[in-house]
Amino acid sequence: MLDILNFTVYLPIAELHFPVLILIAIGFSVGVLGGFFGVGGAWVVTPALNIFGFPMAYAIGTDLAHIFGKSIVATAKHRKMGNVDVKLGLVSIVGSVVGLEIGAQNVMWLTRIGLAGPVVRYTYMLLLFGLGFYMLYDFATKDKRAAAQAAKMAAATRSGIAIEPKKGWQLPPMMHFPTSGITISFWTVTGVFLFTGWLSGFLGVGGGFIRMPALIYLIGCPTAVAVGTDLFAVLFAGAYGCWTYGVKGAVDVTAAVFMLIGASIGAQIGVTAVKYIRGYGIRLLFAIMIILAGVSVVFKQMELTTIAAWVVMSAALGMCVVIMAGLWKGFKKEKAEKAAYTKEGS
Amino acid sequence: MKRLWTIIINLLLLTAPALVWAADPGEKMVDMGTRQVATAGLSAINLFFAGWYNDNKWVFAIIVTVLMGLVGGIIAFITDIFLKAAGLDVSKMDHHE
Repeated sequence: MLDILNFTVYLPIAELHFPVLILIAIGFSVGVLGGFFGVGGAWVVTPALNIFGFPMAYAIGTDLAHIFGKSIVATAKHRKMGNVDVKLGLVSIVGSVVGLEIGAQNVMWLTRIGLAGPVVRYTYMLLLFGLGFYMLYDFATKDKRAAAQAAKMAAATRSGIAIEPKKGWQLPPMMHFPTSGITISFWTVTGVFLFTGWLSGFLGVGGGFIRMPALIYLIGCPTAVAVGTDLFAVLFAGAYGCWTYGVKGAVDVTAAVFMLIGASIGAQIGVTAVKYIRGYGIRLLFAIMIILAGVSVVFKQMELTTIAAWVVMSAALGMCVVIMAGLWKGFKKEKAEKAAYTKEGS
Repeated sequence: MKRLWTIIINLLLLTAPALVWAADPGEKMVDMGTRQVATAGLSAINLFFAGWYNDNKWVFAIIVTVLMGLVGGIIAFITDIFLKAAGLDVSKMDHHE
């Protein structure tokens, strides 16, 4: 089964020999990204497997199977850190499924009139670039906004007039999500998840990378809770994907197990990194990642498939290195602080 | 920032014709619902997977789903022990941006 000398393994369903280390390495890098950003990572795995000659017929199913296993690991750890809003996650699943079906129907209609290809491609690119650059802009202006807010507060204190809290759209019934610390209109939550589900059905993607920023910017979740809650939703999508592709015979179980070994270790590291790289740091790295994913889509649509796959894979590997470096730096800092505290105490 | 946007929009516009006309060549898909894999020469676990794949895809799907959950859980448990030993344990965190 396992050829240790050549580091290859026989995949009984795909009926070929494949390098073990590549499967573990792809799993590991996507595991780190998944645990850290709260995404499934199919947009990295499928092209990465493609580069190394893994049959495409099995790539999506095998990918979804390992995403399911990895999500269990990452969600459990995020829950331990208090980052999973189960109530919000369940609402997101219901809304997303309905939205996804509407999106899929829209694509069918566009296919019938012969416009599906360009419309879907442009929407995908606009979304990746739009979201990425918006998040970069948000990061770049955060200090300016904080300073403006502080100045406003100071002015209000001086004049003795209390600032009215910013009011959102409060159409009843209202829903309270204690883990996220937000109270929001049922209609807003439903609308947001219908929209993200619609986008995911329309674009034919898992939707983790759409839901995570939506939870931050449209629902108002803290970044770490958005990551954990998104992973909770990805877990259900992954379980269904794993099972349905299994029934269709499109999962190479051996390849999925090896990818899962890498992914489970990577996911643990990615989740732990959330403890050290906080809020805006996660948003910045996520923005860079999806812009690079957008660049890869541009190459793909220009039929430069190999370059596209290398771009997305290099971006994933580079991001893994950055996340692990951040984790190491944070860990060292924490250790030094603890040592100094103990010294002071004694 | 304005200059950056100009560059991005121009790049998108330059690639527009290629993006619109580039058609996905598509890959010929095998009908995997009825596909059978060779079991000759397979042993142990590979034979087990291939056997169920050929006999009943529903059972195969259940095996895959349960296996993924189990393997994920076991590896997470072991990795957790190592991370704890290295001092990288996690607990409830406060949420500030």
